[in-house]
Amino acid sequence: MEDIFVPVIAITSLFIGLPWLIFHYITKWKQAPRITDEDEKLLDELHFAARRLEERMQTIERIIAADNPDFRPTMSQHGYEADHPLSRRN
Amino acid sequence: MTARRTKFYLDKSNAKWMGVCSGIADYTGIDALWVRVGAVLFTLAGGFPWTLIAYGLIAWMAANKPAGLYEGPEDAKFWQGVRSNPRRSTAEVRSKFRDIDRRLADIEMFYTSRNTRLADEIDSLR
Repeated sequence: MEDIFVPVIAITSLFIGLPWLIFHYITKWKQAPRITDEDEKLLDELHFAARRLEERMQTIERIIAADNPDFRPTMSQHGYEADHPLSRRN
Repeated sequence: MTARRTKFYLDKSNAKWMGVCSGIADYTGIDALWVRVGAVLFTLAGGFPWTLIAYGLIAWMAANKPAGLYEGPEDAKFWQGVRSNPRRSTAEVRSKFRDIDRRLADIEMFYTSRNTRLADEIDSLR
């Protein structure tokens, strides 16, 4: 009984189970959201612009805070204010 | 700028052998050590010839990582996020722009309200 049973299970799992598993993940991988070349370039530019604008924003806030002590900008949510208190900048 | 950031590359600069594991680590953001440990454990646990064949195939087919692909560790992290979930990264960029817009509105508000105060003071001096 066992000499038939074990090879049958082994062959089924090897020739049906394994390809099934592989193709299951291949289809999942193909359905995953992907971005095109143009989208990637656009995202790169937007990310770069956002970073540059944020740096400029920080500079301007620092300058205004130095000129006007009562100016208290609501800082970004990225925790920048925590490590760089406004009074100690500039 | 022309090199794609959403492709898989071999990372020869951090390679132990041919750079496949460090390339996977660079692609996914998982630490290279865990990728290597996982690969070795999987090989020992029964994937013996197949993992080596896969490693060889990947090493043969994938291109090397171009120098200067990322501008810094922050940039690399951003692109790792894009590869795993582009929608979330786009939302992050949008929230950054909204944050800048809000702060700019604060500054605008500050200057416009201050000018009215200044005008009031000038009026009171008359």
